[in-house]
Amino acid sequence: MQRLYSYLEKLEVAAMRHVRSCQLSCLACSLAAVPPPKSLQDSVAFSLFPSNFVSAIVFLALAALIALLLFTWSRWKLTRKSLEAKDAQLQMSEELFSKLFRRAPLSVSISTADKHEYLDVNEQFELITGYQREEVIGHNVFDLGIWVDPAERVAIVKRLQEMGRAPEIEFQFRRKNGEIGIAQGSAELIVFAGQQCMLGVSADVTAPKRAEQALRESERRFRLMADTAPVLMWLSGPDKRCTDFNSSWLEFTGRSLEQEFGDGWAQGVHPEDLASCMSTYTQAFEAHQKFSMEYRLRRHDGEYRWVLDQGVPRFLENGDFAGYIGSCVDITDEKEAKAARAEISGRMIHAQEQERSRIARELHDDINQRLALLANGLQELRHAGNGSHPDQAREIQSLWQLTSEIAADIQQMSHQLHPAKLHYLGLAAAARDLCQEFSRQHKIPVEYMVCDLPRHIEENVSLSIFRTIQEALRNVAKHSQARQARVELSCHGDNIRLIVADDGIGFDLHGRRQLGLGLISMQERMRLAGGDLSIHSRPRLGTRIEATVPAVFRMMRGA
Amino acid sequence: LQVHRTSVLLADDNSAILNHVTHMLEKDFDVVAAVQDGPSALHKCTSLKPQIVVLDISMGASSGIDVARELHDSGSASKIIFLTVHEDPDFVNAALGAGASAYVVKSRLGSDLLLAIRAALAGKLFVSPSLLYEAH
Repeated sequence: MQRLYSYLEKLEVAAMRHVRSCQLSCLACSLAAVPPPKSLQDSVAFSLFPSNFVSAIVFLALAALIALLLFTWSRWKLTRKSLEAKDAQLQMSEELFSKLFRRAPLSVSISTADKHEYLDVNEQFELITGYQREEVIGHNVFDLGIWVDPAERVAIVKRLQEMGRAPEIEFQFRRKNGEIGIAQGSAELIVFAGQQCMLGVSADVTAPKRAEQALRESERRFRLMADTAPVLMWLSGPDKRCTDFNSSWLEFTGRSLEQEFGDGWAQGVHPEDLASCMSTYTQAFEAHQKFSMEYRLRRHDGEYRWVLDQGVPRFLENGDFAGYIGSCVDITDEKEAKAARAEISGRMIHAQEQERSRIARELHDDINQRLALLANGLQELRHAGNGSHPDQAREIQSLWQLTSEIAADIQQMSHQLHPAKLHYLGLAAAARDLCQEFSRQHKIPVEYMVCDLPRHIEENVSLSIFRTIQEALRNVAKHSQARQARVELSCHGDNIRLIVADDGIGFDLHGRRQLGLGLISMQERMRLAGGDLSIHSRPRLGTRIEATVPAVFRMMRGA
Repeated sequence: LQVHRTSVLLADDNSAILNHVTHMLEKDFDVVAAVQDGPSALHKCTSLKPQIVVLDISMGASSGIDVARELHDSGSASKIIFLTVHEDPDFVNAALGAGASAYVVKSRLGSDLLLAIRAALAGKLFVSPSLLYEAH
């Protein structure tokens, strides 16, 4: 456009020079009464004019007038076009500004700096405040109550007057419906309509701010909860390294957060437990699975305490693995109580066995021996009285018979109290005898199988196994309604394996609230012998008890 | 004239039985020792080398069967006779398996022990008849 205007101006100047040159030439010719130059004479136009001088003057004046009119008209036309173009440009610019102002995605307001009156606001302002433009223009900001804290605005204006602009502002505003929102933006001091004004540009950040506040509050509550919880809590990142510990942890260990960060916490784990602890943690971590482990952790006073540590994987909202969160509980007292219970239980079983053994021995070693002597005395008496009255001989024989029967009964009682066979003949013979006795007494056939059983088994182990068989067979007779039972004794490596199975009605193991005393007693005996016992049973499918115990007895000291 | 008497060693933890058997046998046999536990029995057998050893099975913590096994394994020439209250075929089998020559129950001591000693000296096995009936 500029080029066009420039071109037109050049054209106009050239035309004017040409006309002016003609005019001067003609005027000079007429004044000197000389004919116009040849070039002029040669021109077609000149040749048209009459040769009369006055006429020529008039003609020339008319021509000059016409040229002037033409020039003025062209200048006017050009000026008008230029003004029109400028007007259009200005109008376009105004429209653009207006559109930008009105449709801006941010709230824009112009208000006077001294009287705090709104001069203009945009659509976004209307949208977030709920006020129409007409409702605010010309009104005082404070009268409308849009600023929740007027002092904030006063301070911002003061800052603007000092610095010219306030690049980061955040303030609370009140919507028309009374709701309080939060806005963030910037402000600038401008001169508008001859007065100092505040141009404010802001965005409604109520929702993210509220979410942020809620998150902060949630985190604060969680932190408070974690710090007041009576458990030791820790947090780790996706690289296995610990990133946070609660107050309880730090109070327990007596170490600082910085000392515990990363793998620092592992310094407090008992050296004997560290390898298994790290292995459990690492394996669970790699599989992103929850874990539970027990280890000893050094307390602030240097004492190692048993803790139960349970960790669960954490995932972000998008499903990304974020690490673990875990909590530890001091279970030392519980473990000690459990060990004490086991110790008492073990002692009770031991004391019971001792007492049974003592009574059995008393019956066998004293009563039975004396009865044997009595029987022998009666026998000798009968032989010595050979030839005496037959009734007396029969009486003596009857007394001998009675004595022998009492001796047999006492021997049986002694055996039931404490099986002498176990001590003198070993587990295999004692268990076989037990099975035979059971079959005879309860009319339930028992299939008895022994495989590779060592000859010498520590007596406590063989007694535990014997008592387990005894208890299991007692349950078979009492509850199973079995037609037959099976007892298997075998040796696998250093372990003795016992199976007692029946084809009875079985029971729902998971449906039982707790095991009966008999089953608990069996488990306890096996545990004390360093082994374990499991019970498998389903309704109508019989029951199978499996126990494994080391052939060499070792006393268990708690768990 | 010196008559050769069979030497007998007695081992029983019950002193009443021990006295009774000693009294019963010393008329016909030379009771060289009467002990009350297994280790003593082994010790005396090694030193005295009796022809007959009368052993109880249950002697407190020690077992007569273990003593018999050790004597047998050591090549002892002593004939072993068990004298016990255990009237049970399992014990009889265990005793004979350990190298014993006879098994006598104490309730039949008066009638069976002399028979058992004679049988043993003759190289025969003897078991109290009441047990054989029971086993049968």
